[in-house]
Amino acid sequence: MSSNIPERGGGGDSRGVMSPILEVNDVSIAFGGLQALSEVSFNVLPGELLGIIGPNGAGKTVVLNCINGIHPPDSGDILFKGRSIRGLACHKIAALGIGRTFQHSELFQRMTVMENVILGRHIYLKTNILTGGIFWGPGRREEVRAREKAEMIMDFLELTMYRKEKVGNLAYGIQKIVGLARALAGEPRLILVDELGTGLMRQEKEDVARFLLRIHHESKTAIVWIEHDMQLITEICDRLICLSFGRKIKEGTPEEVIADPEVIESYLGKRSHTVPD
Amino acid sequence: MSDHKILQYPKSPYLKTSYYEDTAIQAFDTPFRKKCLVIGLLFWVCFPFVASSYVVHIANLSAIAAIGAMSLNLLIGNTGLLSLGHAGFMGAGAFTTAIMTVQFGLPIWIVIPASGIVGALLGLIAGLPSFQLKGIYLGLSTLAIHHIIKYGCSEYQYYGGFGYGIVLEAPSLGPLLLAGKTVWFFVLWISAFATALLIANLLRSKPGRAWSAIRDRDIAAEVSGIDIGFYKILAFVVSSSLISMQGSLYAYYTAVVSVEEYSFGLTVSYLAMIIVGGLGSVLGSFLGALLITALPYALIILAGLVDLSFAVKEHFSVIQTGVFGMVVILFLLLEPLGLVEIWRRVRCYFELWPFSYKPLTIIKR
Amino acid sequence: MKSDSNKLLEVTKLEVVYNHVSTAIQGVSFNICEGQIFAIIGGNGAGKTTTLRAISGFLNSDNAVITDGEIKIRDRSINMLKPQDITRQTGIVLVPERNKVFETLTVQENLAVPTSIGKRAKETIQNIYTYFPSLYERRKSLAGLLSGGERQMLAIGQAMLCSPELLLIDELSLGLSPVMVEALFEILLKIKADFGLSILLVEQNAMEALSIAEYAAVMENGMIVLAGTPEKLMAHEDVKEFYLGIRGKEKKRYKDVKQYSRTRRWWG
Repeated sequence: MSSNIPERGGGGDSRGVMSPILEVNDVSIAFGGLQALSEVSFNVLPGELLGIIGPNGAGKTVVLNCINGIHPPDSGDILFKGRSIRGLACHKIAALGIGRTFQHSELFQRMTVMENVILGRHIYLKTNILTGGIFWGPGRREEVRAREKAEMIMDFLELTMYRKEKVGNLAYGIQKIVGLARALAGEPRLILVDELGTGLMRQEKEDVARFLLRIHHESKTAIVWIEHDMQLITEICDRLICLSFGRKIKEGTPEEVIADPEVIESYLGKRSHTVPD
Repeated sequence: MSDHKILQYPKSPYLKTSYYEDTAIQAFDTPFRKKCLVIGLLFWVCFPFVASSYVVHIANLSAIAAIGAMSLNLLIGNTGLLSLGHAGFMGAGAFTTAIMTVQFGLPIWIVIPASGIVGALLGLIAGLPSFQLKGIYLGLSTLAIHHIIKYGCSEYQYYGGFGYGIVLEAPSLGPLLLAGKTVWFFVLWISAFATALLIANLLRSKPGRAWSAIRDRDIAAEVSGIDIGFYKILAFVVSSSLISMQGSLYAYYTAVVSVEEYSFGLTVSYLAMIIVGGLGSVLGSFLGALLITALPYALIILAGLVDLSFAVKEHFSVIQTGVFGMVVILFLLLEPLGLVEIWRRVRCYFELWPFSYKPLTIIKR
Repeated sequence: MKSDSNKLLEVTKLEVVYNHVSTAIQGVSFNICEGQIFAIIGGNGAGKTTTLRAISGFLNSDNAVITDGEIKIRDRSINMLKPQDITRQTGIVLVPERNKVFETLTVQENLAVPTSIGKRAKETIQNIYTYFPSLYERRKSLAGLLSGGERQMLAIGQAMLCSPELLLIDELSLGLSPVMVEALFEILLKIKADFGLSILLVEQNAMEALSIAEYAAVMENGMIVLAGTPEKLMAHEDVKEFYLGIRGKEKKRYKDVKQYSRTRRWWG
């Protein structure tokens, strides 16, 4: 896994010196009168695991969509590796090295797990109509190489037993992991993970935690992660951001954020942060 | 321990040991399937010498229809873009052939690629609206292109003084004169198989995956780095170029090019083929093309068996159309996934035999 | 379980097959008494939703059939009934997991869809709003613009208007914030108390489900592997480890998870 992702960012522990891989500066966006985000800013450091929490409809997914280019922001700027990516087309942003998983997986239902993962490597493939149509020589060799990489990722995420299954026939929990595999296949520098643990049972969540921690430790990929399971996100993330009604209300270490009275009132409720035993 | 002999088992033909082997087309990858392929080939070679010339003619038309169905299926079934202009692209190919052979006397090996290029250009134009339009709206815009092409062709046909159709001479490929149903049987079926191979190859490599991704979830496809606009246009170009070359072959085969043949009804019958056969499947296109092409002839043969009254005979074409409509509706109602799904189910039945259902699998982790 | 006299729903040896080929659930039997909250917990693909859809008659649209077993409500078999008849004649109402509201209608219109009461319609809807005050505030906005929690409320409200006796709820807490989950469960308890409903709850969130249920079952691989009162289930070692995240006395931390393969006891 780690072998196919290039080393980067010096790897020092002193976060203050590192320049952020992603900067979101005062991003605002409105959808037909509804102000979805107002002046949200945050940074993501290389190799950091940043969690985003917030009530339903707070604009968490919209933040990711803005970074991805699905919804270009109305105002503000988004810098990736020091370069503005605001207004770039989705596929160009993806090619820069930003991967994404979706809340409802958004997989290609009629393709197999393997095809989904290989598709994640789309930006690295050079096959065109001719070499693909002949499927002999370069086209086939490239396909085999892509397959090898895809197998590595499927092995890492323990998906090998499903490789030839149609994604639409798989259980929801497995589909989520396939979504992560597809994002990883593009060897991104930054992965945007949208509610990966939603709808998973405890054991599957443990798997998710294991995978994300391994990505975090082994390939030093930065991860921005939206999640509702408080135990999961507070135990794993380096830093948390809480959004509410399109505004950032708190940023800091998980302990700081979940102790904040405003966060408790708008999001956590009185019961949940006292985790039952 | 040293006496212990390690048995060398021969490699099982069902076991694949490299990813290279696993990229092979699935239809012919086990010994049983290879045997089927050989028997099928033998049958295919013998067929035109055994069957009557009428049946060979139906087979030839099926091959042509199969190419058209495959090209339309690539667009609708695999990329999820609706085109109602494929009869137009086919007509464009046929008229390119007519113009180039009748006016310039060019040989077939130039004319067919040239038709392909004309089709590709038209496909490029037809594909441009797909940036913005989806579904039925895109279909309407391609229908407009169909009518423009048809208008151009009819102008050429009437003002060129060709009357009811442009008559072509039998082309020759080197020393071989392409005339007679048996020769054309091989030409057309080899073209159909080559098209099938090309499409199957495209579908298992990068472009095909991108197309399927656009069909299933376009936003997710874009976020994975696929330039949606480019691949949509590409699908249009490939599809219309293929059907244009098919139109060219059809013109050569029937030796007459007339604008009436390339009506909207032709597009509808191609649509029927891919719905009956199975969307997004190469095999489905073949099966659908065979069924829809053979259906009217089968009806004629059936009608010959029973003694029909004069009134029925007089309106026989209406009955044919009615049966055609019934078949499509029955498939939509009973088996929306088409003949391919029936085929899959039959295979499944034999794989699971003597059990009817797959048992629950307990996953121990 | 309580005595047979007030048995509402009886499911015996249910077996469902998808696409004529694959078995989804097998030998599923359970009873629900009147006024009871019954929870089914289990992982993804365990067959929980299939069970719900079998009871509410939606299997046909999923290309699945009941191949064995029987579903009875008040001793009347409903295996063959269509979904609309099940809702109308037997008072079983499903709150589905997705596509639960009509996104292009407003909240008010959404609520008006199931009401066929005529004159009293307005009153009844007003009654629903008393349980969901936040819906009342947004009654003019399109349902497609609601947040996840509000959609869930609207779906429950719609279900309530079908005058249910048994409410089937699929994944109530899915994708909702903790505070919202808490609020929804409170509302549910209140509704149950006021209307005397029975509720069949299908949940991933084992902790929440077990805290409000009166009887619960664990489903895995298409079978019910364990059933009992929540107290009994919560005391079970495997439920603790695989669903609640407690090993022995301690709470497991996600940071410490390692890959392990320990088979559950119920598979032997």
